[in-house]
Formats: sequence, C-alpha cells, structure tokens
Amino acid sequence: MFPLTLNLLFIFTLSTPIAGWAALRMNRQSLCGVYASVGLAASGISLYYLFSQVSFGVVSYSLSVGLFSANLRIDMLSVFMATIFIGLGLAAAVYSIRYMEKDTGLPLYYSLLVAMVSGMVGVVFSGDLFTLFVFWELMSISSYVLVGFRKEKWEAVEASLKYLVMSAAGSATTLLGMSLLYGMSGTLDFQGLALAFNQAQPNAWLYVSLLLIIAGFGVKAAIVPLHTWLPDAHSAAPSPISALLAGVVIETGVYALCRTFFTAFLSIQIQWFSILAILSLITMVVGNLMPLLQNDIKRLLAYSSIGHIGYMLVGLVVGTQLGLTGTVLHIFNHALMKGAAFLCAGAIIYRIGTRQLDDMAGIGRKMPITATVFAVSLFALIGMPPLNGFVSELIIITGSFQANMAWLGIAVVLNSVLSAAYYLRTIRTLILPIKSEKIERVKEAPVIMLIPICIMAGLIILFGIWPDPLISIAQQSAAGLFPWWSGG
Amino acid sequence: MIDLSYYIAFAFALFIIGIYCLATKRNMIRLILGIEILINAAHISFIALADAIPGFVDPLAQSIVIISTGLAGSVSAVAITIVVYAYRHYGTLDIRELRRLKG
Amino acid sequence: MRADKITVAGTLLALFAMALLVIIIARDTFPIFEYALTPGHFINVTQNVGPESSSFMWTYRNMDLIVQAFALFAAAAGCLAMLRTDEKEKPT
Repeated sequence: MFPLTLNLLFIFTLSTPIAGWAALRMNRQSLCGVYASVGLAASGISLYYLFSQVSFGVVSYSLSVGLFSANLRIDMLSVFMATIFIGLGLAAAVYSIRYMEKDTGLPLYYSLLVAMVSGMVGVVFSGDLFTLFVFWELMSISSYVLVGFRKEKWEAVEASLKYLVMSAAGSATTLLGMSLLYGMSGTLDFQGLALAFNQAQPNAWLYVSLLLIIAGFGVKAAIVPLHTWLPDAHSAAPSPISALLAGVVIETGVYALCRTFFTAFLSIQIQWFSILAILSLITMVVGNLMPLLQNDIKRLLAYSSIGHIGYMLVGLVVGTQLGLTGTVLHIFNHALMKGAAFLCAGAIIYRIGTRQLDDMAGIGRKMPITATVFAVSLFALIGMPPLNGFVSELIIITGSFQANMAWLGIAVVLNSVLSAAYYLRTIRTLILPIKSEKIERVKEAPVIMLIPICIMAGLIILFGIWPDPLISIAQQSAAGLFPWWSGG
Repeated sequence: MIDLSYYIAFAFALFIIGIYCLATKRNMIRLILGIEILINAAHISFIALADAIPGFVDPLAQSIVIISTGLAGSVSAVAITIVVYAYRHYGTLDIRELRRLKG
Repeated sequence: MRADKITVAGTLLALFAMALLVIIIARDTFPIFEYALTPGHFINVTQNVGPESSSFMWTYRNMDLIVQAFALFAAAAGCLAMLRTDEKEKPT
C-alpha cells in the first residue's frame, strides 16, 4: 500500500497508545518511549531498502494510474530528507525517555511524535501537491499540540496559539494558490504541472499564484516577515520537540518551496529569483542580529535557525546545480547541528531548571561532556573548517559566485562572521568561573540523554572531515529536482 | 450563467475579509472563525474552477474540497482546545492581552 | 463602534486590496484550463454527478483519504492530550 517506511510509521502511531496503556499497568512508564524508539529505528532501517531502489531511478507508488491519482514519487532527495527526519526523530524519542519522565499523558506524547515524523516523511515522499498538503496538515496538527504539551505553563499555551493561528492561515493561503494552479492546468500532479507550465507564456495569474504559495509555505519555513511565531514556539516547547521543530519542521517548508518552484514556476524563474533574493537577505540579517539581544538560550538558538534558513534560501535563489547541492547538504547539516545544540541546551535546562544565560555561568565545569558537545555544535553552526557546517556553506558561497550573484555569497560570509558573536558568547558563559550555589551541586546529564547527543557530535565531526559520500548523495538529489528542466 | 470572474472575485474578497478578521479582531474565537473563512475562500475557488466549462464538472476539485473540509474541522478542534486553556490561564478571551512573550 | 486604530487601518487596507483586486480581474480574465494537456481530462457530464464523483474520489484519491483519517486521529489524540487531567503533582 504505502512504502514500508510509511507503513511502519503509521502502525507505530496507532499502537503506541496501546503500548503506553500496557506500560502503565506494569508501572514502568518508560516502556512507551522505548516502543516508539524501536518503531522509529525499524522504519529507519527500512529506508535502506528504498535507498538502494532509488539509486537506479525514481520509484513511484500509486494505487491507480493516470495523471489524477494521488501518488507518491520517491527520488534521492526524498530518501535523503526522510533519513534526516527519522534520524532526528529517533534521537528526540530516546532523549525524551528521560526528559519527559515526570510529565503525564506520555503515551499520547509519543504517539503524536511518531505522527509528526510520519507526516514529515509523507511530505517529502508525495508526488502530488494535494497529497503534500494532506501530509503537511498531519505534521502541523501534531506539532500544534506538541508545542503546547506542558499546558500548565501560560507560556506554552500562548506560544501554541500564536503558532496555530499563523500556520493555519499559511495553509489556507497555500490552498488558494494551489487552486489557481489547478484552474490553469487541470491537474495538481508535479509531473503534470511541470509538463503544463514548462514552455508557457507567463500570465498575471501565475504571478498571483506564486505570491500566494511563497506566503503560504514561507510561514512554515520562517521567512522573515512571517517568522514571528518561531522564537516563542521554540522556547516554550519541551526540548526534544524544540530540536525537532527547529531542525526539521522548518526545513519541510524549504523543501516544499524547492519542489513547487522547479515544477510549476519554471517559466518565471527570473521573477522569483529577485523576490527570493531580497527575502533571503532580510531573513539572514534578522536571524543574525536578533540573537545578540537575547538572554534566553532557546530563543537565541531559535533565531539562529532563521539565519540558517536564509542561507538555504540563498542556495535556492542561485538555482544552479551547485547552489541546490549546497542547499540540500545544508538541510542535512543544519538538522544535525541544531538538533545537537537544542538537545544539549535541554540537558542543561533539565539539570538547573532555568533558561536564562546569565544563570548558567560556569556550568561547563560541572557537565563536561554536555558542554563539549554543545561547543562542537556551536562551532559547527558558525561554520568553522573541520566541522560540517563549513562544507555546506562553502558550497553555497561557491555556487553564488559561479552564477554571478556574488553579493549573496558575500552576504552569507558576513552573516557567518556576525553569528560568531553570539555563539562565542554562549560558549564563554559555559566556561566562566562558577558563581552560584545551585551550579555547584549540578551533576552530569543522565546517560540516556547523553547517548543521542554524543552520537550526533561524532557525526558532526565525521562529516566535517570526510564529506564525500554526503556530497555525492546531495548532488544526485539536486539533479533529481531538474528532470523536466529543458532550458539552462 | 454567472461568469467565472465573479466567482474568482468573490473567493478573493472572502480571502481579504479573512485576513482582515485575523488582523483586527480581538476575541480569540473570532480568530478561529477567521481561519475558517480563509479556508472556505480556497474551497470556493476550487469549486468555481471545477464548473468553468459549461456542461461538464471536474470531480478532482470536488474530491479535494471534501478532503480539505475534514482537515479544516480538525484544525479548528485543536484550536478551540488551546483557546480553552488560554482562557484558564489569562482569564480573558482578548488576544491583545497575550503579550507576555516579547523580544 | 469604537474607532480603534488597528481596526481603522485594517479596514482601509482591506478596501484598498479589494479595489486592486477588481482592477486586476477586470484587466486579465482567468485563463481557465489554458495550460492543460489535452488527453488528460476526466470530466463528468452533468447528470448523476454525486455517485460518479464519489467513485472518482475512492478510486483515484484513496491515499489522501487514508492520510486524512490519520490526521483526524492526530487531532483526536491532540485534544485528548490537551484536555487531560492529572492527579499527581506537576513539576514546574
């Protein structure tokens, strides 16, 4: 029916509440989390089979043939992004076993987590705009509830309401843009849209549809005038959910923009270059200036996510094979780095109970492993050479120089330098001398929380020193975006 | 029969009314209704475009609207649940009072 | 009706947007199905639309229907999670 990966994810979404109820009877609450993690690991392993199939060509799953059927269209980009989503979801699920142990309603939490991951995997697997929309809504509904999961605090509820209103308005705008595309071409299938609009004369309504779709997907991708939900939602959510939101949910927005631009809007590429170039510049600048004023560590990391989305948009604007390789690679690297940073910040918050940077002075001396991993991920976010952030940012900058858009490349370099200011300030806070009593008594983070963090740090260093297999997969994925592109 | 342009103009006018409602209204329940208005504007646009050629009806648009109506209902359900908790915390349904998160 | 600043600004912007919309629609008519590929049309004649349309939906769009069922499940689980009551004490 669906590919094995999606089947497993759906089965585990439905059966996690039952496992949770059974765990409650046996009085061992953490079994529910173990069950969900096993499910995510199993679907991750089943991705390997899809990967070997996809290396030969595009795999397509549909229950009926024709240009109007809802189908899944899996190519290398889909499998690459699905690997990131399931990997980060697995890390977050293992981490939550210890982080969320004092909360109630845990079976529903894990069920919603697996539902959110399955929605995201479905978004990248879908081959039709409306199938993408339905999976998008599945992902969004689960994330609205997960942001407001700790409902006793006013902060979570306020952030969740703001996020819901903005994101639902964005979905409605996307739907209106999709209706205009349907009206002009009679189908919503990606292949059909590409064939219909490929050699077309641009029409005023095509521009209206372009604007609506940028606005709609841009709310989720946190492009700047529409980003205001992001800092609140990411700081109010529980830390594993913040890691998932900041790392992968906003990247589905970038993916959806990539897909739509290279199928339906190929003929008006000149126009969307300019709009997106200005938007990406503003996004980068806002994302790197605002954290200088922040004292809350999760808000700081959330704003820096906005800056990295700006870098990914630069790769998309450039529009050549090299620029898109950079964007795809940066999607992977950013998920790894930002996920590790949020999980480490969560471990620190779990031990000392506050999110303010001023109260954390000197905690690196008491939690050495966590602080080392945190420092590694923050150096990678700046873009320092032996780590993986450098590789993807270099490819984006090279792509922009190659396509005669050097000003964007220079903007990326300047923004990376600017971002070093607040990342280094955070690292410095970790190694200051200890000032308060509370920090004297802090112990290292629990082992279950340390395992995913250390594995992610190892991967950051590994892919920084040896990025070749990743670069070749990213090149294949970027080439997969262009199968219908006839012009240059 | 009514020309297609009038239907499209109506759908966009509903969209503008929905955005106006989200931007200016204070009551949280009215915000949720504003989201519903936005989604319904998109639905009307789909249905109007399905009926454009006289004598024929395109079932693809109708299937899309049926499925999307179900999704809109579930978003509203979750939204109203969150509004219930916001009322318990803040004691008012005024969205302008939810200003504690800033910066 | 209180003349709140935001309401006034919102009303003016909405009226301006509607005027712009009327101008755009009057200038370019909507290119209905202009870019469509000719053999790809699957249109019903206007009689007995109900059962034929629903059979189209169940044959061609069943994947979307199944995923919509999962979205409904997620919404139900979400509402249950938000409305849960807990008897033991909560950490801050």
